[in-house]
Amino acid sequence: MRFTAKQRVHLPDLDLTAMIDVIFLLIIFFMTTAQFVERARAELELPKEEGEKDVRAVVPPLVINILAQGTNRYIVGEQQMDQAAVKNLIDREIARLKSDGGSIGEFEVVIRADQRGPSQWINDLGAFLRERGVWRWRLATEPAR
Amino acid sequence: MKFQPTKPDGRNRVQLNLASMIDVVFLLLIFFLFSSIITPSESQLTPNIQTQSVNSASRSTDFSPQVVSVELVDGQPGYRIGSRVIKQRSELLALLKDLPHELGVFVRVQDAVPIGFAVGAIQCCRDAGFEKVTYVPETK
Repeated sequence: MRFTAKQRVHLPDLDLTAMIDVIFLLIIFFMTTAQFVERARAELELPKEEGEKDVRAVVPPLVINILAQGTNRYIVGEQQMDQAAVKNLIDREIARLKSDGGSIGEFEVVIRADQRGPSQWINDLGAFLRERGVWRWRLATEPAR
Repeated sequence: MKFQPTKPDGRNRVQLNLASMIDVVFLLLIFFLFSSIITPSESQLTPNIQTQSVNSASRSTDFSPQVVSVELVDGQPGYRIGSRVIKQRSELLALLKDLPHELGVFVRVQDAVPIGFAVGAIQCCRDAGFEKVTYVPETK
């Protein structure tokens, strides 16, 4: 009697290299974008409002975060600063815009203010912007889910 | 002498089971997809800030825009239009819808009122159909 060797079933070769490459690229993309989102936004409680339907940004705006309390309650980029520093920064940004040939009407500012803070913070900033000839601003809100 | 069994093409092939790695990779992918969606989306409100030109324009007409004051009434944030004091936001919205919209609305907010109420008043004006919403910073 002759026994035959156990026959193996050979699956067709599947080259997964390209798929794994794509998956790793996707992972890296989502990892980095998630971190960027966190860096761009300071942790604060925005007013829970729907906001407007059509908001179009013409140029990358200056985003000013305002915490609910504290002397250095303003955060621009990753830098925490006081009111005088943020006013200096606005002046510098306006001067830069004008030196680039832009007009004050093109100055874009988004204020992300903690809803628990007093309105004095946005009143002061609004009065300062008005003095500088800025008549339009944006207040960030967080739509309810 | 012992010979290794060979494949039909004559080369020895190392089999690498990638199933578990792909499982892990997909789990990571799903995790990062979900965690990026959880980041709350933001919207914006765009009120004007009162300027000198708005003042001079309003002087030239017989009518002036409606003014919504957001202030503390008995220690609680409330709204005032003219002499009428409103505590409920729904009531404010209903009243704003009945007002003429052509001249727009001014929102004046006391310093002590929480920012959430100030932004809520602006949202109410927008929801009521006002296109011209002007924020009037309280001057000292």
